[in-house]
Amino acid sequence: MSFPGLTGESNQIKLKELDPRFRGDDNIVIMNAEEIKSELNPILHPENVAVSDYSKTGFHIEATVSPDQILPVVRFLRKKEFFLEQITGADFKETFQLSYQFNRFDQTLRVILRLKQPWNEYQVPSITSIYAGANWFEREVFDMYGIQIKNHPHLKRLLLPEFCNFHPLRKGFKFEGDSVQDVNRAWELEQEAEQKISSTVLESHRRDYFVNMGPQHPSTHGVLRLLLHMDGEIILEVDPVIGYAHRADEKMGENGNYLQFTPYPSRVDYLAGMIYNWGYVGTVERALGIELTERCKYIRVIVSELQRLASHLLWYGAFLMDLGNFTPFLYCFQDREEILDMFELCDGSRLTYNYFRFGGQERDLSPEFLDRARKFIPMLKSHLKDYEQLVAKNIIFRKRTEGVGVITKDLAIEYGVTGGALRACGIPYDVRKSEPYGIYDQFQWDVPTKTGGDAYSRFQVRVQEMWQSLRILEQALPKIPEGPYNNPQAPKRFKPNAGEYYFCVESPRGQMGIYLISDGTENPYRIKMRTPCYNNLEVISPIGKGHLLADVVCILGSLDIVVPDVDR
Amino acid sequence: MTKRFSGPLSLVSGHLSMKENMFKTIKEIILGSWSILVGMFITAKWMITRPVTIRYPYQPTRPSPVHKGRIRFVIFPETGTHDCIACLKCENVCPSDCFKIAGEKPAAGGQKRPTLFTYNFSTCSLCSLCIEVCPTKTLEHSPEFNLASGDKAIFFYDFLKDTEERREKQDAATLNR
Amino acid sequence: MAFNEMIHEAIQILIWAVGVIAFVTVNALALVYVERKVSAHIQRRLGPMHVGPHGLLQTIADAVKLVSKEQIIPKNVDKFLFLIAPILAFFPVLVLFVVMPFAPNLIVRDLNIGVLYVFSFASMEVIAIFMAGWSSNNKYSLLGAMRSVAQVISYEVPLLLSVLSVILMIGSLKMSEVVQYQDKIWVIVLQPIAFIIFMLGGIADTNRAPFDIPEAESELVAGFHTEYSGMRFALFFLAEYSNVFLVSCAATALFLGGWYGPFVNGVHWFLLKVYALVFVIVWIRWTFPRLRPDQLMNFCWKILTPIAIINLLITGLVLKLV
Repeated sequence: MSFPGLTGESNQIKLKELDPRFRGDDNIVIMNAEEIKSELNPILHPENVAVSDYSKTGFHIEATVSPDQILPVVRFLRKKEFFLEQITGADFKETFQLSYQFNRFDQTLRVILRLKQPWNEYQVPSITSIYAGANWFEREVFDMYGIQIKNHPHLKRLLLPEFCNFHPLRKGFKFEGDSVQDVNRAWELEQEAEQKISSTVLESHRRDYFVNMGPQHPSTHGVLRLLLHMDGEIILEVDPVIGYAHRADEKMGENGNYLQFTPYPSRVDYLAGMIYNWGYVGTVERALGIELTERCKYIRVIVSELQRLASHLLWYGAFLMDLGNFTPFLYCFQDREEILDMFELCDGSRLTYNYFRFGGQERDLSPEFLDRARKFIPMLKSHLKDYEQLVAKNIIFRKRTEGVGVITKDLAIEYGVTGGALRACGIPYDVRKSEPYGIYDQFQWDVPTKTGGDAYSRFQVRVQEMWQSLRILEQALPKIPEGPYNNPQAPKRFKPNAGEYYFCVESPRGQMGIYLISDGTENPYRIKMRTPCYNNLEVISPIGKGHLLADVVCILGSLDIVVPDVDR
Repeated sequence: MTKRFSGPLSLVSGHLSMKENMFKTIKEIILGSWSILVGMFITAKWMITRPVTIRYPYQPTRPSPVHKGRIRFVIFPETGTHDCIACLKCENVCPSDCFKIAGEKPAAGGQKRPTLFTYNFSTCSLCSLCIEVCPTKTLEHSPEFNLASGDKAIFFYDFLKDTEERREKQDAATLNR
Repeated sequence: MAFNEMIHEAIQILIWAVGVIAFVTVNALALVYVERKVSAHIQRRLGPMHVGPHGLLQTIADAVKLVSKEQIIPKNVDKFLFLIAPILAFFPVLVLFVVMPFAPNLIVRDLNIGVLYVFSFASMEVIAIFMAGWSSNNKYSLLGAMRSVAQVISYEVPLLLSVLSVILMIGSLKMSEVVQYQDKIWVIVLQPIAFIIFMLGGIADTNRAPFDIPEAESELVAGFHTEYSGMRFALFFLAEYSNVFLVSCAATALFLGGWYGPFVNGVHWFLLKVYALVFVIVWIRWTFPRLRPDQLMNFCWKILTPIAIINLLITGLVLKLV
């Protein structure tokens, strides 16, 4: 079955264009965990490195490192082209722990390095010289825990305002601030900073200036502030300032039990609510070892692919609206209305869902839902063909997006870019193919990949993803098996064994994962959400340089950022 | 200028000869104009199709049967009232602390019944966890969807009072039939 | 007697002036409604339906709302320029309708240099936009104003070159003669390229999409009129729509045969053609994304201007040979 590509080519990218290591071919095993462990032996003590069971924990290699071993290990991993997934902090009362997570694009080989230090000796070296994308992760660890990072280029708070003098994710934390006082203090700090900038400008008669694409802006997709350092119309530097939508989801996770955290991941990225729901529920299911029934897996896949279509339709409209074309926004929203009506039939809500439970669903899919889904697919196909004529082949659109915001493979590795932005650089990494969950491995579908790395390639990749989602839906809908939608043997009380678990899914924006540290009680000890937009937004700093102001809007739109996803 | 400006302007085809450049530009103009005309035809096609707007207050619209509105007690037809036993399971499971419940066993004996049952809709995230843990299945979602008010106090429901009012309205409706 | 004639003349001028102002304002209001309805149907929705039957009174309601708004003048603006800019934006438009050939007997003043008059005043709005952007004391407004000035000034060149080819053919600058030349055949048949260049230049001159970088809502909030609210904003708004109407009127007079049409010639054909062009302009706005500023300039100087010059040369050559 072939689907019309944008220029008539088939969806499978010509293999010889790709770096042979990134072919995604299952038969080529580049390296396995034992090999990596043996190569780490000269750097780390062999007792500290262990190959762990992937199906139980989600990691392939777990290693304990000390602060002076961190840099050599990370350098080794960088040489082997592992990408940085996330850096997590955790507070174990007398000690703190930093977990560095790395993975590969061509095959799944998750390495976690754990650094445990007592609190009064916290001097952790920064790895930003090796992985530039660690910048934000280390700033967040400093912000939330107060862990000092040595040699960080600019260690200041990331999510909380600069005047805060507390570190919220520590275990003994209690908030005792006064909000009015804080607002005044924030204003004072802003004025100081402004005076510093303006005095330097006046002194040296520079012609460059700073513009805030401020928190309130029609096209920053949420409350995101981009501090632009500009010269005329050319951007010299882009500095995203985040934290305006921070809602302390991770702290809320620690304060309740596993069931109580279920609605929250959907609210983090509200455009991919069902998929984030699966991400969290899947983590606990992996930790508890709960199996899913066949019907449940089919339901989850169908609902996830519909959610992916809805999210991409909204991105399509919003991206074009940023570029000035208001019409496709409304066309795509009308298509999205169909999907939201279907979700209202299965879950009861149109945007903020809570459909998945540990071991199954909240309720079964109704026959009306399946009927509407079947009718929806051909309608969307004809609409997508129309939009292609209207938008993708339009000369103005192509001129606006070609060559803008090019992400190279090195940048993708250092910043941990995933999702459509990565597949536009020529790397066919998709969690549904690398770490299959549900029944994705039983369907015939491709991972759309382009090699341009620019905004136009990202656009094309996402449009092709919509076609592939339709393909999966067409295969899944006729084959839904009868049976229970809930696992009758699922436990009623959720108490995973003490340990660390990781599970990830492919959200429309990239790899979304939940890293869970459990201490054997009914409340999670630490939940960290690995959100794709966090890494994707960080990469705007290096790629935004040298463009015009109009291009920054285009880059931001093509990266598909949802700001609460960045701030959690 | 070119060194600092590494953006798309540097992609201007300085590496092509003048003749190639001119042909490229002319081809672009022709193909571009054609794409513009095609785009305009698509919009014209959509212009003459029927608008999809449902003019909400003047035309009826109904949510789905499983729509998640605010939480309320089920009025069981057999007893004509709710069946809450004040076990506090919903209060414990709610992630947003929406419930405040107090109950006691009546002096005459029988099940424990609630004396205070308030629900704060302004913090509810409609996750349905309370409905699922309830042992007597006495909570449900209301199908109301147009709850809007300028006064926050309206969203602090007292379920006992609310159930009474609904029961009276139901009785009045059956009487009027 | 001369005094009597002068009074006669003065009253005539007054009536015409009032008529023109009324016509332009009512037209602008109608255009706003037309744009909203056409854009709504392009986007598969209904547009204004509530105020009046099918929303016909919507613009009047909007005008009432804008008039009743609070007059906000931000603190650090350049007061004189801030207050003058909207008036200066609206005023040239009114003045230009004096030479428009609506019908053989409906031209207010058929000046000998009608065409020159139209395009010289059209450049005045540049000053108004720049005043608005500069006096607002706001980086966004200044950026928008600078872009707009660059755009309008640049696009005047191909615009005027295309008009020049038409005038070369016709041989007179008088508007009525320009229209009378087209009684047998419309100029658009003889000069299709000039028509396209004129339309593109006209759309760019009025800061409309796809050339609406100065008011790019998704980038600079609202460009040079960010700081204006209430009636001042309404003046800018009306000025833009009247400009669109003006460009269409000029195109009709120059290219589409003015008041000529099958059966009965007259002002109805003129208005019909003008509104058809307005519809096309609105249609183009809602179909395409906007161009980036450097692409805009590129398009003007490297593509439109050479084509306009070549067109002029060809016209001259053909006129010499024929």
